[in-house]
Formats: sequence, structure tokens, C-alpha cells
Amino acid sequence: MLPVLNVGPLAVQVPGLILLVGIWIGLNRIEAFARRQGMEVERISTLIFYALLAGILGARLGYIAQNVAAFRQQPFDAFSLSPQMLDLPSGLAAMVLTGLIYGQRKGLDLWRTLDALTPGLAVVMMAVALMNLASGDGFGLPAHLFWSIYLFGEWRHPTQIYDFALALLIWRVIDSKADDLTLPGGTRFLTFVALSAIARILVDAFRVENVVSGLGGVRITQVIALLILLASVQMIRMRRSTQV
Amino acid sequence: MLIWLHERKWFFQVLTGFSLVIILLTGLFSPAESNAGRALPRVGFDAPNLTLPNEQNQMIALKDFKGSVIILNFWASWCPPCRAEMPAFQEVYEGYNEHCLVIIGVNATYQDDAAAARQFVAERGVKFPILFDNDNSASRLYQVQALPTTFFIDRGGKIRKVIYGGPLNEALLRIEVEKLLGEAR
Repeated sequence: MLPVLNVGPLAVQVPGLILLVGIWIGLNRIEAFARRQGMEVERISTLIFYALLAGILGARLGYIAQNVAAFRQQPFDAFSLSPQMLDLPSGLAAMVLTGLIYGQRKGLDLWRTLDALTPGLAVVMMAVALMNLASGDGFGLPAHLFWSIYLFGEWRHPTQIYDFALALLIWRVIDSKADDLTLPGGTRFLTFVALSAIARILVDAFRVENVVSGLGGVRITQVIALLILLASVQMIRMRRSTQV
Repeated sequence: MLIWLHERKWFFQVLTGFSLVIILLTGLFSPAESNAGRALPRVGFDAPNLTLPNEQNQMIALKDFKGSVIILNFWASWCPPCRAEMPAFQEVYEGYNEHCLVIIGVNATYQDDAAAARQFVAERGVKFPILFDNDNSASRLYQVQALPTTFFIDRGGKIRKVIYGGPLNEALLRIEVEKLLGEAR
């Protein structure tokens, strides 16, 4: 666990640094993939730029909207660089909406564009696993195994490492055969979603948090992941049938 | 690999079945770990108790403030973000002191100069309690890796948020405090 790295007088937030590196590598993978698919790389890059920008702005605006009273007293704090002052759902909504609007205006095929973004998303999933390893989030159940890690006063399942290993495997699967055009559009993206949902179900069996009461030890995230898995498998079937 | 996977129509059916089995096994054999009564410097756990001297050399214990919302801020006088955020803490303290909010500044004295810390507190007109961690015991107990580090503790003594680094602004502090003060005991 290394949430902060002290470099001289600077305290570098390691999870944030990992996320930035993950986004940078992810962007490179997206561009490489789009090039091999014969897509307009510049348009995909611009779409990502606008979506990320809208995501950050949307997250801050969402946070301000939910806490208007505090900002009425301190309006200039709205411009603070503090990463704590972001609302994730608002940011994601702004990001998706901006991406959809840009894609529609530029006539981008939705499914092919999602396929192009998938290698980047897979890299970001690996980065998130490493972020959790650095911050200690998403920690596992106590277990005395030879691969256990010592965290918060106990030997535990290294769930963050399980997450990383599965994300790496998923990335290998979905980033393979980048020049293949035989699969129906969206297959790569939906496969990524389905495999990530399965990974969530598997790893969360060993995680401490998010337990649904009344269902034994079942995690709420496992239930949500199962619904996502069923929906994505159904959509893969539908995409196959549209191609036939 | 992707093509191979999609050539086998049964692949996702098998994985869905496998997922259902995993969920079933989790429900039966993987009970959640309870954090109740366990003290660790971590969100969701009870805040570890610390006992340190204040400016008058009286020993102050964190557990004495249970029932109040507590902000525990580790700082040093040489640390620029710590200095920058101190006025925001003072403002919030003045605004919420009568509403069961306690702010405790823990000076990392083992890596600071006690005289400089006292002078800084006096110059800035800091009114909330400042404790002096002379032997690194509190910083070690709270696994403080960088300054400032701020812990938000609810009325039940549970850590609800940890922020590494700074400076924190007044709006953020007010939002977090309002959230915790608004909760029922």
C-alpha cells in the first residue's frame, strides 16, 4: 500500500498518478486499434478529448449542484484543484452524453466506435486495480495463503492483484486480432463488458465490502455484475443475429 | 483469442452458469468481515484512540470527544499546504464549534520545531486544540505517510473519510462536516 509518495517537499498521490498513466497508455492503445481498423484516428482522439473534458467539468458541476449552500459562502472554492470535489455519476453522464453528441454529429458508427474505445477501457481497468493496490481500497478477506498480503492488521486475499491479473487477461482477449472485421460491430465492446462482469463476480467473492443483507454473504456488486453479464450476453446474441 | 471465443456459441452460457455458481458459493461460504469494534486508520473502521499533550502540556485523548464529529488534521509548520489550509479549519471551527464539531490539529513535532509550531498557531489565531506528537506515536498509529493528512470521524467514532495532501478549502470542509453533523447519532 502506497497512497502517497514523498518526493522532496511534494506529496505525490500514487493512485492519481497511476490513473493518469493508465489513461495515457489507454489512449495509445485506442489510436493503434482504430488505425488497424481503418478508422479516422483523429476523430476518435477528438471524441475522447471532448468526453474527458466534459467528464471533469460535469463531475465538478454535479458536485457544486449538490452542495450549493457551501459554495454560496465560498464561491471561489468552486475553482479549486481539489480532486475530492468531483461527483462521479455526474461526470460519467456528461462524458457519455458528450461522446454521443459528438459521435452523432460526425456520423461515427456507434458500435464500431465502442469497439475502438475498448482496448483503452481495458487498460484503464488494469490501472484501477493498481490504484486500489496503492490506496488499499477493495481489500480482501483474511486468509493465510502463501500469496496473502499483510494489510490493515491481517493477512488477506490480494484482491487487487486478482483484479489486475483478470484485467490483463481480458485486455489480451479483446485487444487480439485488431485488424479483424468479420465480427459484428460492438462484439469486442460487449465481450469486454461481459468478461469484466464475470471478473467482478469472481473477485468480489473474496472482497470484504458491499455485502447484500439477507442473502448470506452475496455482494451487491456481484448481483449488479450478474445483471450486466446477462444483458451483455443477450446483446451479443442480438448483434450476431443482425449480421446473419 | 477473441475469434476463438466467439466461434464457440456455448462459451458465454458456460461462463454465466459458472458466475451463478460463484455467487451461490459466496452466499454460503464467504461471510462479510465485520469492522465493528476494530480500530484502524481506515475508512469504515473505528478511529484508533490517541493520547497526546496539548499546548498547556495536559494529556488529551481522542476518545474523550466521542459523540462529536471530529476532524483530525496532521500537520507541520514547515509544510506549505498545511499552513495554507489552517485558516479554512479555523473558519469552519468557528462556524460549527457549537454544533458538536471538534477539530484537532496534531502537530508532527518529531519532525517539526515545537517553538515554530506554537508561533505559527499564535500568529494565525488558531483556536482549536493543537496536540503535539513528540515521539511519532500518533503518526505511526494513523499510518500518516504525508502531511497534511486529514481524517473525518463521525459521532460513533468511525472514520468516514481520509484525505491525503492539501490544502483543503473551506467549502469542502463545510460539506463534509454538514454531512456528518446531519446524521443521526
